Amino acid sequence: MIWLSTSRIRTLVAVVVVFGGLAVVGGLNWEGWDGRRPSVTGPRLLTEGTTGGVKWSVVQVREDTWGECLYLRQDGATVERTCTESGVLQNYEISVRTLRGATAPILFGVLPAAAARAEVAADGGDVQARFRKADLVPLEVRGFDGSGRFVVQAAPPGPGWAGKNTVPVAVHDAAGRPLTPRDRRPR
Amino acid sequence: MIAASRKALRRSLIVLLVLLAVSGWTYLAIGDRWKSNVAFFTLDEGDNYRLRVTGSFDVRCAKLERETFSDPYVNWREAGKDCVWPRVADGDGWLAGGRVEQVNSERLGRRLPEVILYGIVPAAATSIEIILDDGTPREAATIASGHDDYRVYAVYVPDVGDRVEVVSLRLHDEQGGDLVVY
Repeated sequence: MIWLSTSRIRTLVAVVVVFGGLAVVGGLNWEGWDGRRPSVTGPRLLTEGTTGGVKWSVVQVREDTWGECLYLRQDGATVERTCTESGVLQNYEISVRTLRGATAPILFGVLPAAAARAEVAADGGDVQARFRKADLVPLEVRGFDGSGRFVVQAAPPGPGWAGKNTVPVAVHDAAGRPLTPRDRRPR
Repeated sequence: MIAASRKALRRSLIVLLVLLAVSGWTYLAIGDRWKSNVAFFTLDEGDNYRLRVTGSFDVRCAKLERETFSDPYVNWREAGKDCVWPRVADGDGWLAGGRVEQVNSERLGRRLPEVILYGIVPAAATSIEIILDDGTPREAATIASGHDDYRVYAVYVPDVGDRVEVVSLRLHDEQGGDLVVY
């Protein structure tokens, strides 16, 4: 340690500060970090099919901000994205989309984890008994990621679906009890 | 004699270190001017854009950059990037990515109704067919990225409006066949 005179220590500190600073700034700006933290990871094909003559697929992904989400995809593009069930007042809702080039709309949406049975009105209208004008049509409830539930299938035939973005859906658990968005609220 | 040579060695070392520090600082400050690119767009009204390939090891990104004159310390600003498409589990292809960048004009102070479509694709894709919401199919050849597993593309599309969306993205291989994308 005798050889480390004061001037040498100063020189050494200066060199460390200058090159250490350059290394830190250069390291933080290094473009090799690009792509190391993708916003979407782990895509998994859940199901695919054809509706109205057009092929679609449902892919489950993990988004870094929203967690597990489902994409309805057509031809390499996302038509609809959903990460959780949605609802208004007493009713859960699912999306209605007409795929590009398709002749019939498709229903797509996430349902609560307890959902065992789901139905929509044949005309896409209200599903509450006192307001309903058409019969209920059962939907196939599918599972994803263990406890998640979702619906994807062609809308029942009829003119009532044109122009709709969402439709109410009646949801029941395995015991036949109706589920509503209000059930999720803390009491 | 030994003392003189030591002194010369020390001086040379100091000069070398100073040169290293100055060149390192210079590179960090203005080095982005000379970074290599795979595509360059000189637009009539819009800013200049360039596409570069970044990333390291097995991960690569197609990074679109816009030339800017408003910031004295930044010459090229990142406009966006599209990184390697993940393979879809239980499927037979990739989760398609791709980006749309609305062209900006610093001179006019607004965004223009034209876009640059860009992205990174699997190496098997030699061309890409993109359909925007105007319904017109646009086919473009992909460009070598410098990495064996990936190619990139960048397409300038004028007069398409302010809110452009990709509604279809198909990859074609060398024989003209379709690659599966979800």
